[in-house]
Amino acid sequence: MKNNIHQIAFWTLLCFTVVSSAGNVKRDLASVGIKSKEAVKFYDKGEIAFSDTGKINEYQGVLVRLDEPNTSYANLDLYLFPNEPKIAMSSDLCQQYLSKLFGAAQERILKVEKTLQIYKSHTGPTCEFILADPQSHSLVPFRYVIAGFLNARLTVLAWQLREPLMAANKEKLRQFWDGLR
Amino acid sequence: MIFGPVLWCNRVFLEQFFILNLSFLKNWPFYDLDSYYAKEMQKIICFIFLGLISNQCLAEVCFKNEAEYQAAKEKLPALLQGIPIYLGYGGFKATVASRLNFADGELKFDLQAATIIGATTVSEYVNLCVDDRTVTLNYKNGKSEKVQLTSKGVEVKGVTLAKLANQAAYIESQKSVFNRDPSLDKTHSTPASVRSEQ
Repeated sequence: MKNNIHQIAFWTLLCFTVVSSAGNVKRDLASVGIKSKEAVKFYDKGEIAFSDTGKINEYQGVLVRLDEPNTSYANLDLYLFPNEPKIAMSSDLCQQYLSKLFGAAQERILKVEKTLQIYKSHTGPTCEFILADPQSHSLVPFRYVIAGFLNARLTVLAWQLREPLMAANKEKLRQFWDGLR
Repeated sequence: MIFGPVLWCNRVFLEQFFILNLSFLKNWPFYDLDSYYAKEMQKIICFIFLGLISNQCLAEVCFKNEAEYQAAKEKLPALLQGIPIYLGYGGFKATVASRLNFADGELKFDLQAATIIGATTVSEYVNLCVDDRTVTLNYKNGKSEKVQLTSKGVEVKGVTLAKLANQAAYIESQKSVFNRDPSLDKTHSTPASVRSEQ
């Protein structure tokens, strides 16, 4: 009888621990101080095994756009740089963060397609660029990156793409950025 | 081969610090040279010799492309003697297929992992630094990651990736990653749990 009570206590405690730890998982984008017009879930880098492999410490995790059917466009990496003292995006600053994320130009194998662009979004000057992997049959042949100041905090979104990014799709990804607050 | 000089150095140092009385080893090389200068010379020789040994143990070999790899190949641990290396893991924690290979001559680390939450793809150019105990993956953005060599393969982020026999085994391993989440055959798969939450 005494053993049974111990067993019940053990399993109750175990269930409570599992349930309470599951409850602590923050899937809301608001947990990283961002709001989105689209339905989005946020997965912290600690949740998905190997997700932070090769990424700098400012990598936060993966955003999943729930209404986007194409997984290449639905999943994107989020980087936050709260300590960046500048408050407006510029070509030089973007170049600096390109090197920070993917390595300096002389070291980096990934090539910037055309050049990085500064365009005007709801957050002001915003930077975008596409990186191409010169290796044929690469697992991740392209990366598309948007960088700008969201709530006065430098925020970078990075998509891993299987196909070259067409203008129409690029516009959709820009629209996703436009929906962030 | 190095045991003789190492033992001799041990004896020299122990004797210098009066820890042992080794007078019964009269016939040992240099022992007859009992003068102060001979003792000092013995110590200097030992310091140089032990320094050389420790340098040899800690000497790090790095390579980032095929040419550098070929030059360093003989000094590398057995696991790294042949590239490509295919590594896999299948378990409760994750299913992983990974590969270290040369892509157009540059060293590249590819990894696909799936867990109950979701999946991820890593495809990064690296350079590799190897000493006698650990391998360090250095990514182009300056991030580096230590990988422990084990008897089974390598340990990455607490998961031991076992060496797979060949490319066919790697492809099979990749399939098992995809089977965990059929939507994966793209870069980042949508976490399965997210889809079910919709």
